[in-house]
Amino acid sequence: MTADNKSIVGQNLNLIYRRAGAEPVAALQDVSFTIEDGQFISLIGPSGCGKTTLLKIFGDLLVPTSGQLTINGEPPSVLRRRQAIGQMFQDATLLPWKTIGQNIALLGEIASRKPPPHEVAALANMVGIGRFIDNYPHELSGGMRQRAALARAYALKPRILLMDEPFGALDEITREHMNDELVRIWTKSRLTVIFVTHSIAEAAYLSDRVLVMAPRPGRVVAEISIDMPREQRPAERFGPELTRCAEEIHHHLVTNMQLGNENEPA
Amino acid sequence: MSLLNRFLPGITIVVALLIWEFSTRYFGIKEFILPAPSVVLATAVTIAPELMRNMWATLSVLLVGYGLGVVLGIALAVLMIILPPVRRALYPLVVMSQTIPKIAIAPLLILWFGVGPEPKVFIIALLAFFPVLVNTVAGLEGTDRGHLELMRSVNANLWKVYRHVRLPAAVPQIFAGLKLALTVSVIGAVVGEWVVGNQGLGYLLLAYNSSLLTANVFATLLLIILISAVLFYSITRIERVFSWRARLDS
Repeated sequence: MTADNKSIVGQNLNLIYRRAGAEPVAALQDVSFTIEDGQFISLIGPSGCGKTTLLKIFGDLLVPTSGQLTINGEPPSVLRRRQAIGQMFQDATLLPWKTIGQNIALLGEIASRKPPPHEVAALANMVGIGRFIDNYPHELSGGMRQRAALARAYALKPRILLMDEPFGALDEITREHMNDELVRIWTKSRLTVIFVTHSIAEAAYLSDRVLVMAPRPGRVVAEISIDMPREQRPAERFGPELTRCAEEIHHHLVTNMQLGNENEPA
Repeated sequence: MSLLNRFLPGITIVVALLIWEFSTRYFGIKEFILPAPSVVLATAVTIAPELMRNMWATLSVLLVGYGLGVVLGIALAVLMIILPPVRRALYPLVVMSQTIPKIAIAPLLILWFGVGPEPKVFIIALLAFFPVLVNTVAGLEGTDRGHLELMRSVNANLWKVYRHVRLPAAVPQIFAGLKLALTVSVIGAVVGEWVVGNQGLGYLLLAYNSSLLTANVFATLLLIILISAVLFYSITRIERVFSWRARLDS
């Protein structure tokens, strides 16, 4: 296996929306990056910066106008057809007519590799909702539902996990708790995660690397590595190191925000 | 309070019957104009064999026509969602078929299908079909975008999307259509029997009415109401088994 096969490479990704009677909109312009396998990557930026668009390209839910993305040497379309991409959205998107256990098993069932009951139970226990396995989604809180969505994604045994603001609808306290839970679960598997967020603190706390994006046109303007070991982070959540990283992210966001605004007609 | 709430529908009916009973006596209303409820009930018992015999005739065309309309409605709705051109091609035709007054084409139906149960079944199916179709289309279209995206993320094929997401999501709306269709089907059955044939509760209504046997007319109406209520109740029971929304609400 070459070095290339152990990483995720984006080369000059462009996505241009063309609509009749309107200027073409560059949702993404010349986005390039290399991500090591097993890293936790956050995409952060204001609305319209293309972070969700980029995530959808990772998931093969959108196809770039030009450029190339390979995940361990394969294009996303191949991974999607192999059902090797785990997805989490802002909404848990659990099916209300299925129990939590059935929801966790659902995607595996569709992929014709339905997880056996003991595996579903193990996944539910892993995310801390073991005793709700026979409950229906509406009986659970928002945070609990997102835990179920995480278990459902893990049930696929994916190569990559894509998360689109999964905790965006949760209150701050629940969100912090879910961050710790996510780190706890992720540390065991070291799955490559692409995590879209609006929250600077969340990005700094969770990531190995943060890609800062800016709008008009959507592009990556900075990459920030966060080297602090995971096990130190809970105690240092508001410590100098993570605060410095957050400030750096903030700095890049603000600088590029102003540039973007100046380009707009008054 | 909750006890009162529970019996409220029953109480209204009893009060209405009492007012009806006493006003027919008090004002001395003639029986062939408006028979008292007690008279209607007594008549119903007397003519019970005749009512029962005709009830089976009505029930059989009703259930066959309704079943046909439901199956066609759901099938066409699924087809319209899977193949948008089918929808564009057929929707105007379907809507037009609904604007035709069904009774006005009864003579035509007799010409085509004869005087047996077929024209009645046809009218009922035509009436039942539309609410089922419209509600199923709305239900299938109303699928949560997030759920569809989730299905796409694992490359789910059309059948699996229907089996796991679209059809279950549409079930509450399909049941709304089934209930609507049932009420119009009962009307269709009775009116169909007015126009065609020599048996059934609709036929009986017409025969009694022309002989000024008003108490018999009321007894027949009572039976029709009972049949509708029982069928409607059966659907709500089935709904509770199949519809997740009904389960959540109960």
